[in-house]
Formats: sequence, C-alpha cells, structure tokens
Amino acid sequence: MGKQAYQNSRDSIKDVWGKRTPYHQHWTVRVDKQVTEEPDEWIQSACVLCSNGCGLDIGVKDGRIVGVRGRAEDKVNLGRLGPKGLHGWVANNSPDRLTKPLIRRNGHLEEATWDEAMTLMTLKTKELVEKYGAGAIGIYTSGQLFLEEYYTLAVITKAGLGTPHTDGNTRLCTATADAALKISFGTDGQPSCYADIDITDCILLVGHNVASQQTVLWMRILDRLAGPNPPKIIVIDPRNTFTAAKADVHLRLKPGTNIAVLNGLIHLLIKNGNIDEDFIQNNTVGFKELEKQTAKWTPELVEKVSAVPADLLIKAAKIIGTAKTLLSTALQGVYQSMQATAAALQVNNIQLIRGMIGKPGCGVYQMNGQPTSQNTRECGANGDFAGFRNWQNKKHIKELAKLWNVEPSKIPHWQPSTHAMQIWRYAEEGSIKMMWIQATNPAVSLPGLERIRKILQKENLFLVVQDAFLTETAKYADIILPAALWGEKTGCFTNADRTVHISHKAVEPPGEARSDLDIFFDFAHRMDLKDKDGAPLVKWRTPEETFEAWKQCSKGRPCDYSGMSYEKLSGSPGIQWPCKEEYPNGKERLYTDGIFNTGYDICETFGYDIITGVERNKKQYKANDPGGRAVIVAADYETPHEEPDDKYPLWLTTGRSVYHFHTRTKTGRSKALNDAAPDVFVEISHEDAHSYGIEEGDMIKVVSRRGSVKAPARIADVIPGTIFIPFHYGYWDKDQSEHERAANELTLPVWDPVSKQPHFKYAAVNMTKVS
Amino acid sequence: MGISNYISYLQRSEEELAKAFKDVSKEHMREPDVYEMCRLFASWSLDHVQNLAAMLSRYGKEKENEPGQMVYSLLGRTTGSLGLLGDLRLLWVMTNEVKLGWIILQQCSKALQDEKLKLACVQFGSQTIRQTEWLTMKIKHSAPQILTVPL
Repeated sequence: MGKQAYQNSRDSIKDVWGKRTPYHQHWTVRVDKQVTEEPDEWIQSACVLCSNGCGLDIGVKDGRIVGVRGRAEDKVNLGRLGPKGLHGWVANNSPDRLTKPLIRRNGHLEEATWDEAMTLMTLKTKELVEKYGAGAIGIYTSGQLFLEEYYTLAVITKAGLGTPHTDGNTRLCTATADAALKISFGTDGQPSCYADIDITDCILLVGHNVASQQTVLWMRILDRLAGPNPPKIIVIDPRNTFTAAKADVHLRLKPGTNIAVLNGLIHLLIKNGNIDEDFIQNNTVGFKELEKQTAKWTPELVEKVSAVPADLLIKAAKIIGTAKTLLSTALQGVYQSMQATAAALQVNNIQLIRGMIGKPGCGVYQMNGQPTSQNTRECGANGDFAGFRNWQNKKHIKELAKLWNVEPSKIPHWQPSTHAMQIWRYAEEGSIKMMWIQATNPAVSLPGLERIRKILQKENLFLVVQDAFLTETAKYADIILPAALWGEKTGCFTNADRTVHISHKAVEPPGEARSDLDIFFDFAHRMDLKDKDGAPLVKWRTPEETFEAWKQCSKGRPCDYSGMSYEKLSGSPGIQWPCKEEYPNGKERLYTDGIFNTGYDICETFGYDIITGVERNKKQYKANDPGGRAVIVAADYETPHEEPDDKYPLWLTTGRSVYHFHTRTKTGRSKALNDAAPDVFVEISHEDAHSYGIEEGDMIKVVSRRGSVKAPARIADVIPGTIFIPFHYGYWDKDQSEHERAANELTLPVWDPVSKQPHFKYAAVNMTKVS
Repeated sequence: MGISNYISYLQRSEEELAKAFKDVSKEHMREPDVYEMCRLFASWSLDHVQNLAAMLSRYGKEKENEPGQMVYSLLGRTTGSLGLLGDLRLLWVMTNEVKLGWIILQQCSKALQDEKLKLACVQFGSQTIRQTEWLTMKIKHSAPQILTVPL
C-alpha cells in the first residue's frame, strides 16, 4: 500500500480549525482523520483532551493505535477533531510508558510485582488508619479518569476508608463552574447544549479563549460566522486572543476586574430595560439586591477600575441587551481569577435577568477544563456527593448509605469534603501521612511549586502515584502503579453539555499496566472493604457492572442516567442526561419549564456568603426557600489579594496553548504537538517591550515572591502592564536542577472562598532582561 | 449619657479585635485562607472603629476607660495546629463579645428612636455576624483533623 492509501484530513498544526462549512439551517458533517497507517478496524470512543468530548474512532492495526477519525454522526462534533485530538493519541505508544510497578528501596525506584506493590500499599494504609485514623489519608485524583473509576473511587473513599480528604485536580479548573451552577440553579448541571450555538444571536465569552481551548466548539462558531446569520460575539479578556480577534466588541480588562466589568454590563442592562421582568418576578429571587449592588457601576466607574473604555462597555451592553437570544460562556479567565465564584454568578445573572435560560439559543456554558471533570462531580470523587447530593441534607446521606449498605455515620459529612489546597496543607503540616495521587501532576500544576516540592519530599509522607508516565510528581513516589490510558480500557465519560459517550477498549495497555478501575478493585479487595452486613463494599467487577451501579445512584436525581446502557451508548451519537423514562434519548436543555432545582430537599447546596465562603444551613435556607426559583446573587468588587507594587510592578497572568494539555505528559510526547509549541515563553505588550528595552526572543527573568521563571520574550497584543506565561512547561523533558520553567513557580497559593479554586490568573511580578 | 460610654467600649473592642485578626493572620501565614480572611475581617473591624468614632462625637465625650478585653492577651500562646485552633477559638469569643455589643447598641437605638444609629448597628453588626459565622465554620472544619489525627 502506498502513502496515499490513507488520506489525512489536514495539517491541524498549521490549520487549527480546518475548512469552513458555513452554517445554513444545520451544521454539516466534516470528518477529520489523522493516521500513520490505514487501520484494520475502528473502535468507538471520544476525545479526552478537552471538555468538548468529540466523538471519535480509534484506528487499530496489529494491536496498536495508529490514528483517529472523527465520528460523522456524533452530535458534539459531526466528525471534526482539533489538533490535540488528532495528535495526542501518539503518546499512548510512547516507549517511556510505565509498564511495571515501582517501589522505592534505599532511595531508588526499583521494579516490583503488582502483588508486592499492592501489598505494601494496603499494609501502609491499614497501618496508618489504625494508628492515626482515616484522616491521615488523602486522595488527590484527576479529571482524566472514566465515570466507572470515579464512582468506584467515591464508594471506596466515602463508604470504605471514610476519609473526608478526597479531591482532585478538577479543583484547579472547574470547581467554580460547579459552585456557580449549584448556587444559581440549585444543583450542578449545564443548562444548555452545544446545539444552541447553531441558533443563537449573540455569544458572550467571559475569560474563555474558546479558539484555543475547545477548538471544535470554535469551529462550530466560525461556521456560524461564515453563514448567513452570524451571531454577535462579545469577548471579555485581557489578551487579544484568536477568539477576541473575531469579536464585535472586545472588552480588554485589567486582571482582577471581572466583577467591575460584569456589574457594569448588568447595570446597563437594567438601566436600558433589557430585562425580562416577568421571568425575574416569577422565576428568580434576589433581583432587588442585584439592582442595588450594580447601581453604582456606571461605565465611567468601570473604566476607572478595569481600563475598559466606557463607550465600548456601552456598545457591548447594547448588543447583549437587544439580542433576541443570548448564550454566555465562562472558563478560566473567570474561574482562576479573583472573585471567581462571584463573577461566574454574574454571568449566570446576565442570562437570568434577560430570561434566557432553558430556551433554544439561550443559556450559559459554565465550561469544564477537563474532559471527564463532569463525572468527578456527578459521582462524588472530587469532594461533591454522588448524584448531586447535599452533604448537609440528612435525607440525601441516608439515600447513599442505603444504596451502599453502610451506616450513614460511616460517610464523612460533618464537614464538606476537604478541598485540594487544604489537603496539601495537612500533608505539609504532617497530619496527612499518605497521599494517593492518580493521573495528575501537582509538581507542575499546583500554585507555588517550591512549596509543593518540599511537601512531596517530606520524610513522613508516604506517596503512591498512579500514572502512565514517570512525571515530575512520580519522581517523588514511594510506590508507582503503572496505569492504562484512554483507548486501553472501556468506560464512559460526560462532556460539558451533558453528553455521555462510551469509549471502548481498543488495545491492550503496555507491559503490566492496568486500568485505574482494576487498581481500585484490587485496593478495595485487599483492604477488605465491607458493607454493614459483611459483604464486599464494591459489588461490581467490570466497567459495565459499575455503570449499572452508577445508574442506580443517579436515578431520581437531576443527573439521571437510568435510561442509558452500554448497549444504547454503543453506536449512539452521544446521549445527554437526564435520560430516563420521560426522556429515553436524553434531554437537550435543562429548566425548560422555568423551574430550577432550588427546592430545599432537592438542592445540592444551601448557598453561601460569597465573600467569606460560609455555607448556609438548612434552617437558614428553608426560611427563604427559593422553592424552584433561580437564585440571583449580587457581589461587590474586591481588590485582588496581591497587586503590583514598587517591587513587583507587573501583573502576571497564566494560561494555555492550543497545542498542549495540562503539563504535557501526553501532548509533549506527540512530535507534531510538541514541535508546534516546544517551550515556555513570556508574552509582553509592545508598550512594555518598549519601556523595558526588550526585543522579540530576548531572554527574560520573571520574579514573584514565590519563585522565578526564565523564558524568551514574545511581543503580543496583551494589555500593557500584564504579561502572560503558559503553565504547561515542567521539567520531565529538561534538566531538573534549576526550577525556572514552570509558570506555577510564580503563582499564589490563595483560592476562592466558595469554590476553593486557586487564583492562577494573577500575581505581582517584576521582569528583567537576562544578558 | 451611658450610651456614649458604651459606644466607646465597643470601639475599643473592635480596635482590639482588628489587632487580634491581624496578629492571627501573621501567626498563621501558612494557612492561606486564615491569612486572607483575617486580614479582610481586620479591615471590617477597623472600618467599624471609624464609624463608632463618628457616633461618639454625636453622643458626647466618653467617660473613663473600661478595662480592655482580657481574652486578647491569651492569643498566640501555643504554636502549630493546636495553636491555630486555640487562636480561632479566642477570636470566636472576642467576635461574639463584639456581636453582643452591636445587639445592645441596636436595642438602645430603638429606645432612643434614633433611626440613623439603628441602621448603622444593623449594617456593622451584620458584618460582625459574618465574622463569627466564618470562625465557627473554620473551627468546625479544622477541629476534627487537629484533635483526632495526631501529627
């Protein structure tokens, strides 16, 4: 067979978004494909390299993955794939995959058998629990696993071990989306669907560089822009990104001023009467306070605080206010910034006061940063309680206890689950003596890395790292468990518009690597985790059995999967939840009847003081039960915890590149992706380049109170006074002696009081040219 | 008037509370949420101090000083996480004392039919309540780990 026997669709590195298929009445199919040879078979799956969850088939030849092809019938992408989806699979075949368990002996990691590794792990766990209690164990998981793995882990940790210290790296990316949805609408759950892009009149993107982060979603928007009725695009971002370049109005704001700008928009919407008074009256609570709070946010005040010109704000508000249908999105520019939850709530508020929820072309995407982070929230592996249940609702706890056949008191609910930054603080302090880190790389992705490295090196912290590669974090482990990747195991996952996909096992994992699910089963068995009748706690032994168990847990709750099955999902174009008797093929939008999940016995939270993070209790909530109405929460502007001063006169903001995912454990191992973005850089404005005498390519040293980074300068259209560094670049592919490459050397270990999501998006720094 | 005496007492309590919040934030800098929240609360209490000074000027000169908060001197005696729990408890006591102060002043404002004073008490008192709520929550969340899981 010659080289032309297979036809790859495009060079997605050079042409990120591919050919346009202008939108005329419906979005059309465009199948993207990238293979190194023609496969013998195609196995159904979906992409795991962003929260879009594009349906794709994995191409297999001779037991190896040789490429991917978008699924034409999939409702999420109609065949399209972005550069990460088209190239990321290459990492599966990387020769440096972990294939054997490793145990640290005499200071070195040595190969061991699974029996040796698991025996040591469970011995150590039992020893610690006996001597110090379950509170000595911390679990730090990931937004990279499958639904079945999350559900099993949730049962193990909450009903087996009984530790409240379970969270994951989703705390770093979508804890705020989770919090905002719960507070406004009663429970988690994205109200809209991606199909709303096809018909909306206006898209407001707040801190969401969708062109780089969800390339296929951007393709859908570009196709609308190329069609006969393009929507208006409003972008709020300190950088002139690819997304902002297509905006009708780009509000370029200073870091830390989201609330000012959003309050300013709301102020104008109210002033101009662009609100749905009937909807506000009948379907929401809290509007009066919002009106009061936003009264002072005139365009002039907004300009003073945020540097957004008053006339631009007015222009944006007019477009947003008069659009017949409106769709808003938010991502890390909101979630990793100061006042994250407060700002995310204002985005919800814009939709609510315009009465634009639950209707076609309307709604809000509180986006997810990771492909399967939705599942951690649903299954309760991230600190939430399975099935969107409320830790303060005794009835909800009893439901879980009955389902898992344990005493309610076994499930830790004297506090909400401990959040990630606090778990790491307990480890630093020494009360947590064992950390089980799964499929994530905190040595590069947490804020303030110098401190994190010290914690990982602690003598009395027993570290178990479960991963597919020897990451920067894994290098500190006492035990390494080699894990299978996507494509090497069967399971399901759910994207950011509630679409569930099944991913079938396409190839065997390399060497002795095992699926995370099998590792969890083994752990539960060896730990002898039992229910209250002495039977095994984990009653399922295959991915499908786990899925069926999860269905039972979700039944009757908003995230109802009871109408789904592996059979139904296989060959399907993706099925949205709720999927039950009433909606056998899933439901496109939530809250179509204007009734939200805020009733006191349904809701997932009783709300918060959004400045202090104090969660309300049932009594307080019942006294003003919204009873099905959406909750509008107002917020005033607060200055960021750290601001530029004489010593550190610049703002640093961090973010992502279109070619990389997280800390590049996978994408760094694809030559195409890595060549496209091989190393860290510092993006600075023309103005700052001029005043500092810096030219393109000059080596810069950036310093904060936490550490320093050295990187070459790139001159770009970022707001003067602010510099940008992508956070992906750690040390696994470079000399580890000097830690001056990862952006998180510089960032602040502070977090949002409600969502507990760290503030990665701002820090005070100085910069100098390195000769 | 007795009320000016009381306003002055409340002002000193808030001043001492602000100082206590600042001290605790510095002592426990490794607990980022404690650090940031105590600094915020210190600024609230200082704001109350200013506003109480304005009220004092309306109600006449203060009388002799009442003794200050005894509790404040107990702060920072123990280090580490037990010290954190201890300091949070003491802050809780001080903040609740101040909360009671606002309740008393608010009651007086009703008897005096002083609407302006009443509104001030509601506004600032509600911030004090939020301080106490946060301290209660933080204590509830930290105590089990600190007291049942040895280092």
